Amino acid sequence: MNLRSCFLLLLINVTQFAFAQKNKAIHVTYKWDESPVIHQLSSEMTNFPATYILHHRTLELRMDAEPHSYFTEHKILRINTNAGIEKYNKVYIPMHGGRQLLSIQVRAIDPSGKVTNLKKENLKELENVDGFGNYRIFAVEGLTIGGEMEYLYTTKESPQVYGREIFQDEIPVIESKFELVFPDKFVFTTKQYNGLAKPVTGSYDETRRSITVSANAIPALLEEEYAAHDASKMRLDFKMESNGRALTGISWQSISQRFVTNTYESGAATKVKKFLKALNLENKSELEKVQGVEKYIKTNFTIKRSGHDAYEDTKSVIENHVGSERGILRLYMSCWEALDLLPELVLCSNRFKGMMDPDFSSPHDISDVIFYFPNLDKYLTPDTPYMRLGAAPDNLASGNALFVRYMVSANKALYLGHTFRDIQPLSHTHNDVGVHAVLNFQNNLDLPEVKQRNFWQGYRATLYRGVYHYRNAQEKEEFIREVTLSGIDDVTVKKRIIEGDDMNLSFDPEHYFNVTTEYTAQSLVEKAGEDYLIAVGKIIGKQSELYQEKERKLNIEFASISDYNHEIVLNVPTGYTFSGLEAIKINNELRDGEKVLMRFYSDYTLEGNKLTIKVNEVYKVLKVEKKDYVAFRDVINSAADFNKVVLVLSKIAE
Amino acid sequence: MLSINMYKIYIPGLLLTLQPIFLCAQNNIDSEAVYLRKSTSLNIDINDGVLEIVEHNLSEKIFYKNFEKHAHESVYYSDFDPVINLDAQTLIPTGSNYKKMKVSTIETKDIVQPGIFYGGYKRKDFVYPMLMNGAIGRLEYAKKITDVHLLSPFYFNEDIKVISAQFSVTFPSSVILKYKLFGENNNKVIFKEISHANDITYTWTLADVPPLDIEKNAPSRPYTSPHIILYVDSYELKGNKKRILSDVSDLYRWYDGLVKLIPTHDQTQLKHLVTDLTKQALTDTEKIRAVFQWVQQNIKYVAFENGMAGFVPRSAADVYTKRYGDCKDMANLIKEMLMMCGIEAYHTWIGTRSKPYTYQDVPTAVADNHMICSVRTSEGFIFLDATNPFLSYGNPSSMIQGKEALIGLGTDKYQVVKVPVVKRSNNLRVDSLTVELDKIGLKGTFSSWLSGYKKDDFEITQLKAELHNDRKNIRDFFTVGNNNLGIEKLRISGLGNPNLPASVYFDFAQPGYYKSVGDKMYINLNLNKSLPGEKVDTALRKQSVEQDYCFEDRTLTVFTIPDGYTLTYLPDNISKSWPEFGITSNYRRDKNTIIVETIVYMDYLYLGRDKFPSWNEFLQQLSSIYQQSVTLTKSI
Repeated sequence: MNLRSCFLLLLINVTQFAFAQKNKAIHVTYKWDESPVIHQLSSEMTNFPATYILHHRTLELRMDAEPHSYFTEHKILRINTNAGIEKYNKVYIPMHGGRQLLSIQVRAIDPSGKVTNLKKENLKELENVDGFGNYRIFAVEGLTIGGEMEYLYTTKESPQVYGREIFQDEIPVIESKFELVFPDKFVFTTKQYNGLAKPVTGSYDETRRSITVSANAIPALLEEEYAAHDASKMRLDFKMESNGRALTGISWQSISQRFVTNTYESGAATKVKKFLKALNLENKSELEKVQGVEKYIKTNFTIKRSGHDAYEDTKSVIENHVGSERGILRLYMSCWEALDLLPELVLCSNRFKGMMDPDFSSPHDISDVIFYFPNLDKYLTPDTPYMRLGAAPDNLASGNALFVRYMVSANKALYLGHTFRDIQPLSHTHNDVGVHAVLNFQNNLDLPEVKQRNFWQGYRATLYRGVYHYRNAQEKEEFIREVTLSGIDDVTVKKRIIEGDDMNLSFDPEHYFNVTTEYTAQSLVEKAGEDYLIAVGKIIGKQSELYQEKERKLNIEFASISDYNHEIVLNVPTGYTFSGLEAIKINNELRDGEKVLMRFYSDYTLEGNKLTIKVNEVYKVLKVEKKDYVAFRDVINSAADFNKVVLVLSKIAE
Repeated sequence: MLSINMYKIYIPGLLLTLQPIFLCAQNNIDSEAVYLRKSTSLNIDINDGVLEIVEHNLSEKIFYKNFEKHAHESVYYSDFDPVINLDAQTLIPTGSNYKKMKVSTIETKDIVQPGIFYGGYKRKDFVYPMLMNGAIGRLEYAKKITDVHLLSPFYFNEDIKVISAQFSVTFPSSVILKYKLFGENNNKVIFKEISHANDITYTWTLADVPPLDIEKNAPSRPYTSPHIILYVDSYELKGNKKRILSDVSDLYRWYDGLVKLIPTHDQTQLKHLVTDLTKQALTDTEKIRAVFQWVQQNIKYVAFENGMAGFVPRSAADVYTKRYGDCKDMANLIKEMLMMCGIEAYHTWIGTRSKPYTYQDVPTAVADNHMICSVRTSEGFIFLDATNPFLSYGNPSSMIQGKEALIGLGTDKYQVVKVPVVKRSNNLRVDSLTVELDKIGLKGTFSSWLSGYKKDDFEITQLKAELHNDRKNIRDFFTVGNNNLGIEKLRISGLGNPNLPASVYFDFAQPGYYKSVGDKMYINLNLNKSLPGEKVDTALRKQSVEQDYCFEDRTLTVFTIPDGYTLTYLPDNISKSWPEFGITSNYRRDKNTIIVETIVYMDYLYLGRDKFPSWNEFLQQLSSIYQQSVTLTKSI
């Protein structure tokens, strides 16, 4: 959701105390080296596609006739491989929020020292790129392997009273510096994360103060599977505490309060009354009211992901049945007001991008806003059309969320208070997922007939219903095939039944999304002379595997909660017997004391001619510390091992 | 846990950003929305001796359900076809009539397309308001066509069903127009001609047009979607005939005029480079190779295609300095560099395989979308396409195989030559494995030798792996065994050198894999069981199957029989071939080893519907070969 703008608008007033600054802006005097030379780097530094030799940034808040922030960024990168050129030669400078480019210099230095400057006509402008706003773009000219690219630019923008600087990348950084400069009357506070060096605060000159972080030799942070990579980079968050005359501190309370008053639209509740009346909700329970409103809006309104004002105004949203994420959020708020319901607004973070810090308030990590209905103990996700009242999205669960209480009185939204709480993920007992399959060998030993039912509950059911609903015919077919028959080549499907695909079933996490398939697949049976090898392990679908060739760096962040329960039944044909059954038995688990957090367990029973294989693979938590990585990997890889289970079907000796 | 759990929901409005042209198909049986009509009409006038063209578009889409998916609409344009007016509204059913509701918010956006750094393409973006069952979205807009050479094709179909599709053009009788219909069902298009006092109207109508099919590995949309390409042959002006696109010579004359606009810049530095590159080269072939490879390796693909920059190459000296360019920049640079060595080289226009047209069909800019450089040798032309940095010298890029090249030989001199399809024997992958048992499963050595497009594919995979920090790429590319493969002592050579094949070597350990029961041991010696495609549902599949190139995979596996075991079952040898593909699998015993030789080849670029039964039979055969295990029994 495009939230930053709505916080900013409110915060700008804290700097409306303009006074003339006599000193020169820093960017005016910041220069790059007129005769650059290629830097000497050690070989371990060049063992990546590229290397940051220098990354300097200065953000100066100035109180000239009008207050502005000036951001100067200076980068020097060594290019080590072709991939390094491909990845770094195209530069996009974001220009949203009325940012102006004051100056820019770009050059490449080849290994012999020859300098190629960017031709001004090749600096281009992109406007209103979907979801990203405006950009200035260029491709570095004359860039070669072993050479360096360097650019230096300054932008002027509205006062930045809070912000974030990232210091770490997928490639190493040799020298990095960030300098925040502001009039000495002002007070800023900062917090560093993920091992970044401590900032130094002091006088920049007689009238200015600065906060500086210098960090050298920052190691590359490579992506790892099952990890919150972005949230793990070294970074500095900063914000203004005081403008010298008043404490303007950005606190969780002020953020919550502003969010409520800013999102609430006075008088909008009367505008929703007409359509609410048609929904006949008057004598209904709270649950029925909320579900009724959600179902109606999600069926009849279209979300336009845009920052355009027209999509935010409740009147226009109701008239057009079209709104931005913010417009739709307001529409819901108006409905709750009209129905006298009092949900809490929940400001949340995407676990994979970064978590809100209760000890350092900053709007940066607020990625989503949802509603929480305390009486129902249920969440409503307004901007995701396929979700229904119940659990919060799993990427928002299991972390700090800011629950904001408010009420409406005399056409005003009143902030009542806020608390940080965990959004509890939907328990594994509501995330039953799996496949029940019966393999019949009666007609053909080397081509068994398989009847299987794949089922999904909870998060998966909700997601898959949505995917199914929004896809086109051929895509639906591909999707169903992928989630039911992955890992089995050469399938001939004879019959398929899909049940439970109505998105409104997602109101109840008990409901299943089911796909029943009847098929044959030659690859399930291998032949060796008179014996048959049955690849039963393939029935559970292609499993992911984990390889960690370097030391694990990041904690494990798991995508979702699941409880897989598979059952495979094989009817032993007359005159034949199965052997090799012991390979079915696998048991690996990750525990926290007595508590099983994750587990893979498979076993079998043989009764008469009926062989039944049962698999339970459960992931009850979303986060695991990296010290437990090996046990975690063993559980994950157990499923890949089960994939390999093959049973031998041979004639009973006479 | 399942490896495919990260599904994203793509709402069509978002999808459009990534795929601006090709909309997606949907089920017609239970329609969510249908186009009642879509029409485009062109008005051609002669003003001050110049043709002026305005394109009027009208569409009416009726909505039934799933509004979120169908409500988003976009109109695409560029400097060549600016939108001059646009009006959109929803017609809301009110029982007997409709209430009009105008779209009040229309946003203008720059489009970022994959592969084009700066394209100058834009889009008008809006959402139909107040949708309900039976509401109609009505869109009307006009565009000015700024260059008579650049008329767009008209497609009769859409992502959803179209009840009535109509294309028309009204033009003065002094103008001669030509057109050609393409795609399936185009014989059902009804053509009408009406003459007025001073002008003529042509109309083409197609009713009940089924939605566009999106199928895996299908050729591009123009192969099957019914569409019409209209172009101006010529017009009469004061008694003189002014030719526009009467035949290929006119198209060439226009193109040749555009490359004559390439600015001249000082080439001193470039000349130094060429002298340096070719000082060791004795023959012309060596020189061409040296120049081509330098451009391949040193000029990165970055495309600026705004306005005429989409047609006129940048100067060779400019591209040399910048070290990047698009296809035509690279083609022109190669041409200039070769000319410096005294080798005649030619600008060459070509349509990639996404364009199913010949220049004879349509002598217009619709026929092509790419530029390369050609050189005449004693064996015919060779085609130099440096946009693929890994392409072996002498090979055309796979995307232009079998296509016509329009080679510019000089003012008014050109030749249309067909680019060859590269033989499968040039695109080889040869794997050799030695395999033995150890405590945990199998262990052994793997080596692979790759040539031609097979090698290109591997290089591209390696580059992507480096770009995305993918550490599974070797396992995924080569597929040895089934799961949890351990790799050690990895060595790769030949990459970055287009003169050499690639070779890859590693030691592997494969836990499990074989099956031991009682005295018997079963081992499937087809360690790579990946199939070259999927079975086709002959009842449902509508389009041909396309593949990038012909190839042959050979595998030689040598397995050492462990001590204490004797071989008790060896699968049968099988060899079967069809005109487009084939398989051979041979097992033999040699002392204490089993040797398995497998050859799989694919000899087609397009597989028509009539070939699907034999394709399925081939896959069935291949599967049954891959399902064969060897049996060993404990010696007594």
